[in-house]
Amino acid sequence: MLRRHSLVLGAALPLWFAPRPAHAAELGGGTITVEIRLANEDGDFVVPSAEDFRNFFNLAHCQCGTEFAARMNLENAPGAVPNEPVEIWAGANCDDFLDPARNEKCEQLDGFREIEDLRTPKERLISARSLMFPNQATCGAEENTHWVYVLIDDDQSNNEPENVFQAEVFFDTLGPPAPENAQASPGEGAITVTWDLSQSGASDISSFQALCWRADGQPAMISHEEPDFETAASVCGAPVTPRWARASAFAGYAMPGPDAMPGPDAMPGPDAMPGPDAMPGSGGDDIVLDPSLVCGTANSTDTSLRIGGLEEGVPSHVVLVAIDLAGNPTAVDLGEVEPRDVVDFWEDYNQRGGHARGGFCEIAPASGTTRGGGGLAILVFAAAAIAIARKGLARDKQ
Amino acid sequence: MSRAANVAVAVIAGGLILGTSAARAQPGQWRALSEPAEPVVPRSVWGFSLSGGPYLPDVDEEFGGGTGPFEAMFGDGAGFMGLLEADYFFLWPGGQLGAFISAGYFQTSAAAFATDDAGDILMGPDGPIRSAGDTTTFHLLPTAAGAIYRLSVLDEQLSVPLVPYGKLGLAYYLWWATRPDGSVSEAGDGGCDVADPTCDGNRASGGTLGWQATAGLALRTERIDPDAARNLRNQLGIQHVSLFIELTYANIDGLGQADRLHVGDLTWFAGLGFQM
Repeated sequence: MLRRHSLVLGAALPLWFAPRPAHAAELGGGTITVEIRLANEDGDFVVPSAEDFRNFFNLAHCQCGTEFAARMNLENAPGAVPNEPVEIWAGANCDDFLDPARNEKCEQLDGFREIEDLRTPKERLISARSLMFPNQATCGAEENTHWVYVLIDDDQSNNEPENVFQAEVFFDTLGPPAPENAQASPGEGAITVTWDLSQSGASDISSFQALCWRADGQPAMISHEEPDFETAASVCGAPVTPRWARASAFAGYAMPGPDAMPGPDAMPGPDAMPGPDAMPGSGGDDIVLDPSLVCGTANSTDTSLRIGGLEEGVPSHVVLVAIDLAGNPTAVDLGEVEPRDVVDFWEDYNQRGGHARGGFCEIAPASGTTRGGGGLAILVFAAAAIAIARKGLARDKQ
Repeated sequence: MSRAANVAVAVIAGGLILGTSAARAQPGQWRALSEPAEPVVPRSVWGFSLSGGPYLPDVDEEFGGGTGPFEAMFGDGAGFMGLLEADYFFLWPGGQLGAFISAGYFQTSAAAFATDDAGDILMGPDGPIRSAGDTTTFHLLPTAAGAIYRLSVLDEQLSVPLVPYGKLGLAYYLWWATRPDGSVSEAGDGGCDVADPTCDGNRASGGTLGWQATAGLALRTERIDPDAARNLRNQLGIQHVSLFIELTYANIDGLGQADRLHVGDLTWFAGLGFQM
């Protein structure tokens, strides 16, 4: 699924699809181009932008087995080419027929009976999982490069294909590093989330987002923010939990001194935290990163996020999500936080009995407490200034 | 004013003088004995200045001794206030007499106080506990207008490049305080909840009238490099460039009105002035 990015052919894209003819002589100087295409909102397979390309080959699309298209076309070939079958493979080193581990690294897909079939462009739909994790039922977590191969074994020797054409795909199913020391603190109609950037892998972060929901599961606030991440649930509705990081969060006010801080025993230790497949707070059910619960977004270099517009006294469950360049999320559960009223300067001033009132009227204030000195002073001052100015101007004229 | 600001002012003034001096300098130039005397510098009619200095609004004055709400929230350290001023001179009784108008800006921020379930401020061993991320800010926009007198005779007749001056004027300081969400704060009269429609709110925005007096000393820099000063005069119409420091007493308490926020201070400013 193409996300909200525009479909613009990036300048770097041709490098991704560069064919590698091994023995083009058998095709009479012709070549078979292999081009990766992704479905747009209308379901048509088109050449993606570099950003769309990067965002597609992530964990969510692997888990969903989302299909992309490999478009193949025989170009610049003479009138007749050998009548050989065309094999299509996905994986790594699929052109090495003698590799005993080939079937573990490669998955064979439906090919074509003969090369002539590609005289007009043909598309084969390929599952993202088949390319990233060939012949495997689950998706791992790694960053790697695989290829879509078009192989022609002229002599049917099964030793080495005489013609190899391929398109390269870099994929990323490894979630980003979790933000460190993440905390959620209550504020006035708000929750402030703070964290430290991870020392490793921070360059892979594209953004941070917070998700908030109430005890009844409803969004804590009305937000129109789009999710920057993708999960299997959001892509295909699959009940797959995202990668969770162990939270180091303590939801509370920063206390003034170390003596006032809760001891280590009072903090949720790693052992008390749930594993990656289950999160607390929903009666044992898995918490899915619901895109409708996004309540705030921060840039990749930010270390804090203020979530405003929350109802005071109503606790909200907060999750901080780090998102990498491919859209993979890593979530940290920060537990429930209840926005509370705070006392600002003006409220404190009034609570202490300050007499001042707001307003700009000086001549006749509504409170009736004036003695009229302000207005009189202005009039006297203005009259004196005008008199002096007139005297000065008169002297200049003389 | 901070040390950095002082340095910045000095650099600007020095740059102006040195820059114009370099533009004028020509190798081999010499001044003939018969060259006519320096023309009389025309009277300056307009003056402009840019200055800054420490400021601590005297909000807590009405609370007598001890720590008032301003100090409790923002601390007892002064913040920085920047000022712009324009002068117009129309009489020259041994110096320059005229009128001035000025405006400036000051703000200070702090994390608001956290509260417990009852709405009371949470207290820790070192005082109120702050709610990180909930910033409350106090803004001050001072304006003033009044009379200014510059005793320029020292420079013009005795060649002492110092100009003592004084200013006296009316002031109107606009102020406002904001909540953590950036909106203007509001407190309920008698402690009522402003969310209650029957509660009279007291919004934290207003103005306070007062008066202020200033005594200052300006150093006219043109005697450091007379040729550069001549270039400034001829090319830009600037008669004098001055570095100045001044002491200001601002009594901004509403001039007798009891319900005005006190925002005056006794403080100093330093800056750079131009006269045209």
